[in-house]
Amino acid sequence: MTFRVRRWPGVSLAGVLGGAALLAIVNACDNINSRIPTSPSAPGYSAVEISGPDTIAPGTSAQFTALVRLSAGARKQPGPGTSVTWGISSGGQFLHINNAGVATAVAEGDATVFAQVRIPTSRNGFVTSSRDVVVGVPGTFRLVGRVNDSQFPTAGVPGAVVTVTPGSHQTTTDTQGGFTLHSIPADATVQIVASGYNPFTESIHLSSNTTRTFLLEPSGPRPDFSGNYTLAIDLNTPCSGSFSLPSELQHRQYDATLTQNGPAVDVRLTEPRFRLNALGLGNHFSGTANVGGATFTIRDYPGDYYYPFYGPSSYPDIAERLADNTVLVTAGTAVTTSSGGRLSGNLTGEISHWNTAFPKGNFLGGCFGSQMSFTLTPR
Amino acid sequence: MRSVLPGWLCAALVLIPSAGLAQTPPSGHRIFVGIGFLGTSKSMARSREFTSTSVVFHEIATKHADYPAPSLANWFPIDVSGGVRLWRVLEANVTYSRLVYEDLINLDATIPHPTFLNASATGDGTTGATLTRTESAIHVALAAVLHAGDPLEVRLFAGPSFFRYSADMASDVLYDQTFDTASPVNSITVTGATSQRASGSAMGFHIGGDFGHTIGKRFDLVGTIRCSWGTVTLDREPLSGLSQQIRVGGVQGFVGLRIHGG
Repeated sequence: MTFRVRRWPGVSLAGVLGGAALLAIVNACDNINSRIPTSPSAPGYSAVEISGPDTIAPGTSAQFTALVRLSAGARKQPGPGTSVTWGISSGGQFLHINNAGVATAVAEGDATVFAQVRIPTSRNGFVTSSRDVVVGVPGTFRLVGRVNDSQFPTAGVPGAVVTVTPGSHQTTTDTQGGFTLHSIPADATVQIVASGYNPFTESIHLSSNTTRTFLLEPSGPRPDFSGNYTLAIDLNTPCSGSFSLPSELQHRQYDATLTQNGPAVDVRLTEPRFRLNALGLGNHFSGTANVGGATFTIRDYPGDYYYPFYGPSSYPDIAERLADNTVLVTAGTAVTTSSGGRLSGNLTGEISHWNTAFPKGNFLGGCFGSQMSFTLTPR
Repeated sequence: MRSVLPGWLCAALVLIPSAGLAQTPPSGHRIFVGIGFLGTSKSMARSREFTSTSVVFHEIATKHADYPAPSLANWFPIDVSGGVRLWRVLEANVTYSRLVYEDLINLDATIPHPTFLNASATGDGTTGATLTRTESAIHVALAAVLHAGDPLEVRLFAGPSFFRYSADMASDVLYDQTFDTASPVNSITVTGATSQRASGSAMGFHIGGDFGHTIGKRFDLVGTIRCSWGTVTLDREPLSGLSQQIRVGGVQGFVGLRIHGG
């Protein structure tokens, strides 16, 4: 038996099946991506440790090595895929270091070696650490000292001459009474001489780098410098050059009132011509009195353009407003001796001139690292 | 391009006969049983890579298993079917098929140095022996007989497929490491892999056609092409430890024998 069927049922069914096949092909051609585990995550890095000698003799070299301390407590050396940058953050005149971490000691002094290890997974992309290194003769030690007034043990004695024997170790204390000497033998004698104090001698024994405080006895009754004075600041050598000061700004006089509490001396410039800030800074500074005179510290401020960042506490101690509303800043350290009621000595520091937008204004001129005479004459 | 070729073959399979074949009624037989005994299959699956991560020597170690696109399956597939004519040119049939693929798996491992940071080394290799991937499926289809005569019969079919995937998969990459604790020297040699059987099931789809040639009152020699698709989800792929999707199905072509009755 034969018969013919209508054409449409098979063709229609084939069309439906063809459409379904095309849909299936599209579905089959999309790519299936494999899922990648998201854990465990890489261990964190807590710090970099620098290993190497604490002391290096001048003229010799030493190898420093950076170790990455992992958060789990383990330590690993940076491999070839890890960038390590070596450098000296302070004391570069005493110690040099190359890219391989080999340090060469140049002269006696203190230096700080730093290593910056690039670790992309760390918070800043790198981890930095530093290590203090003393450049000194092997078998000797660094002596960090502070010379204070025995009557006011927290008050430093600036300008004291410290000599350590054997050897020729000598230095002068800074404005805070501090000093540092290197290559001091284990058994040594410390001698200190300061104006207004009795000479001081002490035998010391060192077994490591040491910090010591030495107390000086005043040689007589401490003078009281309280009173009214005229302060004169004069550049000893005229300052010239493209940023030099006009000659009238190289010689300044101010009315000053000194008040003293123990060795602490406060100097206040009483005329109204100073530009004070919100904290009242701009017309006063401080000093330390001793038997023979006084030492004064007149602070500058760190970075004129960054004044808003540092805040008003960074304002200079002396900010004199001139007739044209520009500002003259004087800063430095003055070591004076007393004679006939006058305090006179040298001021080592700077005078700088700023436009009317001070303290954010532009620099107009100045003399830096200058020697100036500093005289307080009673009125 | 190579990976989409099976799909285009399937499309051609469907569209060409639907446009060109005249239709004649089927034979008087109502049921049939068929068996395919010689053929092969090209899988729809593409190459895949699975990854594991772990902490070794305080850093991340990674291992990969790279599965190539499955090669042609063996030439003796298991393919058994049965069907019944429902109405005029319309038939229903059920087929059970089972395909086996055997392939080497590429492996690699990146392992950190025990004492140096960022000094990892990478080694690669293979599983050494092939791993077996088995895909079995039950295909349920409606078929349209496009041409029924003596001696040629042409049939087109399509319908859902139920896939079962079962495969030996790399669960860990084995390696030997040599290093020097005082220098960043580090070397990895991949020695092989451990494996686990992973399995899963999924519904899919298939479409195909066959060409029968009568060789007796109740026997046809049949050539069949079937395209099937499906996506199996493994709850836990052995190496990554994660749920992963696997493409199953492919283009199967084989010849077999059909026995009519009823």
